[in-house]
Amino acid sequence: MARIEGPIVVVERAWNVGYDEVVEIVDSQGRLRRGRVVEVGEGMAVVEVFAGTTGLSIDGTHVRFLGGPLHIPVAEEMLGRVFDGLGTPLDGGPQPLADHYADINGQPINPTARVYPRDYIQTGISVIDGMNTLVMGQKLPLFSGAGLPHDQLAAGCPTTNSPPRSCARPRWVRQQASCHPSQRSSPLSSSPWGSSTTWQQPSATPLPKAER
Amino acid sequence: MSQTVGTVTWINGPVVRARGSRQTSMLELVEVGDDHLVGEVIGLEGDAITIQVYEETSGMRPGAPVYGTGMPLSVELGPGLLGSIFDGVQRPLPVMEQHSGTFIGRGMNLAPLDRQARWHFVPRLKAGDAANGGATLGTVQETEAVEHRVMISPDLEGELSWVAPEGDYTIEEPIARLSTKHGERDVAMIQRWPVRRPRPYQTRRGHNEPLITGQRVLDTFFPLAKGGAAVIPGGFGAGKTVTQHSIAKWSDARVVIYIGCGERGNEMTEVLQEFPELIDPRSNRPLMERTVLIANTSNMPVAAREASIYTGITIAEYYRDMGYHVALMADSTSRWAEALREISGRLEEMPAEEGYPAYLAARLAEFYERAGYVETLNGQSGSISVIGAVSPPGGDFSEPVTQHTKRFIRCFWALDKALAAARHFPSVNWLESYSEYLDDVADWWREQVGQDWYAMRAQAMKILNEESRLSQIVKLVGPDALPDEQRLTLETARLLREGFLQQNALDEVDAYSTIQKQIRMLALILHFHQKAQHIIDYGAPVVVIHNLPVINTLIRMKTLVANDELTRLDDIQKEIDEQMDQLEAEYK
Repeated sequence: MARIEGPIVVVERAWNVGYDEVVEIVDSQGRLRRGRVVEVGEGMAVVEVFAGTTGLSIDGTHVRFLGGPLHIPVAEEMLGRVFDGLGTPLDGGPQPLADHYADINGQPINPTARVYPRDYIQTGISVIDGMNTLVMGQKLPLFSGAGLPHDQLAAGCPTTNSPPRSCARPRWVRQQASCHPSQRSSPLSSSPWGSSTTWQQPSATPLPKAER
Repeated sequence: MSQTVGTVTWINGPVVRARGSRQTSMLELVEVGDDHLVGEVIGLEGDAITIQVYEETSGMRPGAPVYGTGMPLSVELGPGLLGSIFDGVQRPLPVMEQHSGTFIGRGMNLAPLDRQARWHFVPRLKAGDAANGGATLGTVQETEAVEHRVMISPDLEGELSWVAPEGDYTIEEPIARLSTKHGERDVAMIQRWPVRRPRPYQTRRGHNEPLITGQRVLDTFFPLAKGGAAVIPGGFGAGKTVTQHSIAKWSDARVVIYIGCGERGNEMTEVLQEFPELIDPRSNRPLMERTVLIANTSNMPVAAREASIYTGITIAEYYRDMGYHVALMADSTSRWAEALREISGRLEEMPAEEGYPAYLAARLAEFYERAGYVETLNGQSGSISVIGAVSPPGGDFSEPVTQHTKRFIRCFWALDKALAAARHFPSVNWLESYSEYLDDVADWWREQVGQDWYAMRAQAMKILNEESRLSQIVKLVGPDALPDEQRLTLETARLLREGFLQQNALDEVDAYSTIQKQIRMLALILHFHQKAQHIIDYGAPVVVIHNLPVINTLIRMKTLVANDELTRLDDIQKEIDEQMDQLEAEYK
């Protein structure tokens, strides 16, 4: 560890580190936090620490490079669960069993493989359905300001929805309501309700792409 | 062909530094890492090489090898380009989909042009002919709509020692042999050209022929000359993309290059799905047969976005050299400028205005200056007209990309969100837009339609400007306070706006107007104005004119009269005259 500045940590004598790799940082008290490599040079790596650098010291902090970009387990069992931004369970339950780990950076979709979004999403909120209709597979940002109930509106969209096929009521929506609305809207487009039309290859149903 | 020229020492997103051979040249194409990610050398200092990589660099490590290719970033040119869909560095997206599925994998080096396809080559030159660079060796019917003229690369010169007989060949098979000063060379249909180097031509010509788009507000009011450059600035939802699509569909260019640069993927899909279904009104063939699409959607790598503009314009120049008129749309150059800014930031260059690099203006000029109406090397004339969209953040036209772009273009189509919201399409604001090609194309209009377009346009503009001035007063005191003469101006301006400027892209008849129809419609409205003025002079109130049934006909003539039945406009003129004469008799 050579330098700590804001959320950025510069690690020296770090060899064989890849760009965008995940990093585990253990401070002198043994607490674990994670980070991501944002720049690498020879024997040097710049790490962005996700949980902030409070309590980190130059000596006594151990850094471990995990050898690849952040992957999180993805499985159907994740429905109904609560996770933090790094994919670890927050609801006291175990890690979901998954045989597939997906890179959170995703990959760009080939424009020729897309289908133009035309299918309507019913939210039950008349001002949205009637005047500003949502379409499956589009990006659905909510522009809001401080003190406005955007979280309730965003959470209201999927819960008042009557999905065409039976599916568990997404309980997680309400609990996740404090994160960015666009993150929440993406499960809509890739959930089982939308898979028939939105993606040509349902087997490759992508993860909701995390936004930075 | 590729050999290791260095090893990676530093990585920051798409910018990678490596240490290695001093033989590496500036702007050389290199492959980085074990995945062979494509990149371009953008800086050299001693043995340090700075590379911009056209793909995601996640997971790459210092120590990874860098392979040199010994040539600059180039595009492949030859039959098979039309109808294709490429990414920013000319990788064919449909082929990529077959290889890697829905998502774009990394390190895929796919040939842009189909190597197996056989094209029917008809020679035009024969053995013994002298062939300079750019000479047309023969032709290939690339699509039903466009004949591909196989040219000798502009860099070559010599005498043909052999030309293949008529027959089917792949693009790599030799079709001729050229004895040059440096020995014999085989010539195939395919050629490569570095994207950052403009293809040579003989001379530049003046532009005095407009690019006909079939959009009345553009052709009649703000014409773009063939070989000129126009910009469409407009904020979110002002209708930039719709306007560009209309031009791509209807313009009288033989070849259309559409660069979707930082566009939303869904919008690009719309183009990809719509274009093959649309029929070109001139050749009655699918539009796709004269179109090349280049797609770099908003989440595809930024460095490739920077290259996509150059890839597009190089392909445009290739078709220009065949003697065709090419229209190139770039949507949007703001995203391209942002790509420049991102890379510049990672290079730790000194930022200039709003964080854009200091060379932003130079790069924009480099791009727009490649538009032009030229005499090609083989003595034909061809042109590239560039239509760039700019999306200024917050609709603020004073930001650097719009400002710098305005220096290099002569035609400005300002889109207006208020018009778009009022369902006025194309939402070109007639007060803010301008075209500096008016004088250049005036003669052409006179020859084509036999009427004085220049004077008519000026008169119509005067009415519209007057309306805007009067509407300020109307806002304060209401229309009733105006004298009848000025209220007539408001009435005619409304006719111009609703009957002429507004155009319904979804209506079969109205989507495209021939220039003959345009000028006749304009003449009718002005004729109406002139007649009405007489009647007002006799003391008639404006209400009687407002209530004339012919007003409705004038507003609806754009959809009532098809392009091939313009004689019906004569009937409308008769209608105007009859109704006006009646009023005249009443008030005289």
